[in-house]
Amino acid sequence: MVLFLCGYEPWRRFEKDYRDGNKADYERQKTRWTDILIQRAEKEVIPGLSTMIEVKETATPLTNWRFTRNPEGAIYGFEQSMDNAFMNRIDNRTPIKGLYLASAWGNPGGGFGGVLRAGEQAFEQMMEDWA
Amino acid sequence: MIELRVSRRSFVSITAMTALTMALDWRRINAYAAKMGPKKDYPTVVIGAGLGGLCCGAYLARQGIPVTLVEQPSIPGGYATAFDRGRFTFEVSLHGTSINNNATARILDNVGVLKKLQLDGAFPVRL
Repeated sequence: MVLFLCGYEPWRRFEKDYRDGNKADYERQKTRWTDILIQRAEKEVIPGLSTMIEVKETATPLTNWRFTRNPEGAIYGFEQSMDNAFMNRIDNRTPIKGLYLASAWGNPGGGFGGVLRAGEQAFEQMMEDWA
Repeated sequence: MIELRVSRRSFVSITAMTALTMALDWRRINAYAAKMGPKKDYPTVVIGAGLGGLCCGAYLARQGIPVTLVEQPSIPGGYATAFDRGRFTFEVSLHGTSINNNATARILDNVGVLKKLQLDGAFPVRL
């Protein structure tokens, strides 16, 4: 797997067309990025990589959005900024009664371990509020 | 005096690790459950079958609470899932992760799936 963090900006201009199902430009760009990544990996770490490939799949932030509906294809929810991390991280209890966060967008945040903890914590808070 | 410089990176990783070590207090949960009355009176909808929703929903369901889980695509898991192309299987996000971090193995055990998992690697599961 060849992967890197890229943010949403390079893909934002394809967003509308992508959502409307006009993916020709997007696919061209995706293929271009795929080839660049494979060429770089081939040059710097895996000689002959391109000759060994049997099947290729590429995902972008728009792919993430399509399958998970995370805005802008986010993978870790809200940014772990100084004012939105740990003690300051957004609460899984929301201002809307009966609505709780149980995801990377909540507390403690993204990653498999973090998200499981968020689900657990939301459960705990729901039970507390119901009791 | 020691001058402790905390980088943003170290702050985030230390606090994330601390958050992960907080365990569930079952005595408190059981006390809440006892006060709630019939569990069928607390129907819950979980929007999204990613790890967070699945985890929360599983905890609730194990309490006897009616849970309706809704998901957009045809397969559950969110980013923690896989799909097939011919004879190849693609993981959507991580290829591997550790569950020995004071929270993950414990949570998977709590929701009743740890024993059903086939685990790779040389490290025994610590609960």
